[in-house]
Amino acid sequence: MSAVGSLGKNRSLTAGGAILALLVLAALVGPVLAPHDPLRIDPLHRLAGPGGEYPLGTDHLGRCVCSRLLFGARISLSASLAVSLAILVLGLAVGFVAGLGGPRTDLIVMRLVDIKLAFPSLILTLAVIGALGPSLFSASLGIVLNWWPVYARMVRGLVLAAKEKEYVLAARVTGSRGLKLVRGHLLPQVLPPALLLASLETGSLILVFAGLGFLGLGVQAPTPEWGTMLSEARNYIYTAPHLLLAPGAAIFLAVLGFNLLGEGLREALNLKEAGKW
Amino acid sequence: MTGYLIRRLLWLPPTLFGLSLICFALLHLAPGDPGELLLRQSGGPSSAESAAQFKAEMGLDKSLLQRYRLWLGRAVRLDLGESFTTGEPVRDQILSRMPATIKLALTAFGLMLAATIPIGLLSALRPQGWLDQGSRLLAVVFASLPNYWFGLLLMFLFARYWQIFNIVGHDRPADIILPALTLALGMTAVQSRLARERFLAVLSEDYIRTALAKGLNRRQVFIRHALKNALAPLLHLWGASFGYLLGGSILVETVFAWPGAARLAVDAVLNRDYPVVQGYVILMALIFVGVNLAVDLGHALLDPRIRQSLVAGEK
Repeated sequence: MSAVGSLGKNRSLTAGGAILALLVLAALVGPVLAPHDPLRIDPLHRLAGPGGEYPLGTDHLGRCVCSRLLFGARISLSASLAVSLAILVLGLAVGFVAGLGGPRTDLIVMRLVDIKLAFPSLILTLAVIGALGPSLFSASLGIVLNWWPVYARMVRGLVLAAKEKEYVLAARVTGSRGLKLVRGHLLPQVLPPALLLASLETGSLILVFAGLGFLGLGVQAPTPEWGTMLSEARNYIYTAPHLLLAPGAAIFLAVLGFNLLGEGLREALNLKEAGKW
Repeated sequence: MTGYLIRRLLWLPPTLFGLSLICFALLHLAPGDPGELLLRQSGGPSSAESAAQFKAEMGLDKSLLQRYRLWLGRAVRLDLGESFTTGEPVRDQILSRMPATIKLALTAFGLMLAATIPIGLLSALRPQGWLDQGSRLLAVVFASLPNYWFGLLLMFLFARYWQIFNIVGHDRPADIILPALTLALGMTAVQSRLARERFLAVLSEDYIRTALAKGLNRRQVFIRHALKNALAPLLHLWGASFGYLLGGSILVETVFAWPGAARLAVDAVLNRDYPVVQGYVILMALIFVGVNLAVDLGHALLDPRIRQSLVAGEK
């Protein structure tokens, strides 16, 4: 790797980390920083421009955009992280079952994974939301149900590789079985790459999450969320175009932060192939 | 290698079976009794008696397995029931909206190819050159850009500020440019990087070195040897990307009020119109499965090693 390349990877890591630190900070201290109640309606100051009492202006109901943006950071980040964690747990569980359950279980589980991967994820997510009705919960469930197979496949591969390592064989010979074997010997091998995948995927999860909010299929009004804010702003694209900027930029920055972090981590750990799941 | 094709085709029935289970579950395991829901939607009486009669008519009093068989029998004939909101057959409703969705997806796909191949090839020819570095940076930025936001910004700039395109129209040929551009953007960012890696791999092959060593023109070598050999693996990536285009059209059609099937499906989800959602999911999944099957078969035909073994097998 050339000097320029190694400098570049450090830059991605630093930039991604800095953006994410800023967003996490905003989510944590947002309620203190927010100048107004994000749900408070001010009918006299509808669609106000930035400046003065409202730093980023007000929306169509006269709600403070800046406050809604800060509160939205909590929802977008916490929901995406929770969903990411749920996918990770489900993927680990299925991957371990396939990897340790013997050839027949492995075959059946992996065929199921293949079948799932034969269909476009966003469209099946729409199907789940269609069945349960639009809400934060059904959007999250839809994402979890459709994003786990990639993790399961990777975990299964890692488990199969780790199983043949000498110290794992030694542990099995000396009587380590079941959960003890998984916790003590296999999980430490499998968890780091799985966590890396999770950090890579969180960016695209935020994108999907806000997209569902934008369609009205995720977080429901009046809860402040970036995607929903964007879809409300859409109706005032000519009268108050500045409303488009803040929520869109927030989504973009959050996704960029995770993508840069992932890119940086991948190159720092020299896992070039890792991006091609 | 003929074995590969047979295995590939044998894989189709279980995939379709899986799809049928998912779609059946969507309609029949949804919370709330579909019979009552349907009655309430149609504004009919909701007494216990009429609900029971209605359920018998719709076959909802039968066991789950019987219902699945009934449903499957109709679904294979593309009889997907009627929309709860309009009462029209779901099939007609979706098929009338499909051309717009397909047109959008294909245009975006064309734009993606037109950008991906030259960017991928040129940045592979000069790794770490300005184009390579630039396209790498742009790939991260564009892959992070929410296409629904980008679409709204485009719409504002072009239609309002510069008054070039008409945003609400979809009749003139030019009206497809902005939606297709929006849909293609994120995909192009990712795919051009993947194409670069494929081209890099091919360019380091022995036969490229041989061709250059024997004095062939560089341009000819790249176009005739490199491009041709990178094409087969790229085909798979493009097939997979088609699914993302179909998924992405859900958002882009909403942004641009594009009269496609995806927008119909989003409205159906919001109105709890299950049959329409189900019909859309079935059709899109079938298209995606079909595209990937075509890609795998096309790959087999493109790759001379596989093609020859097929011909040899037929003798």
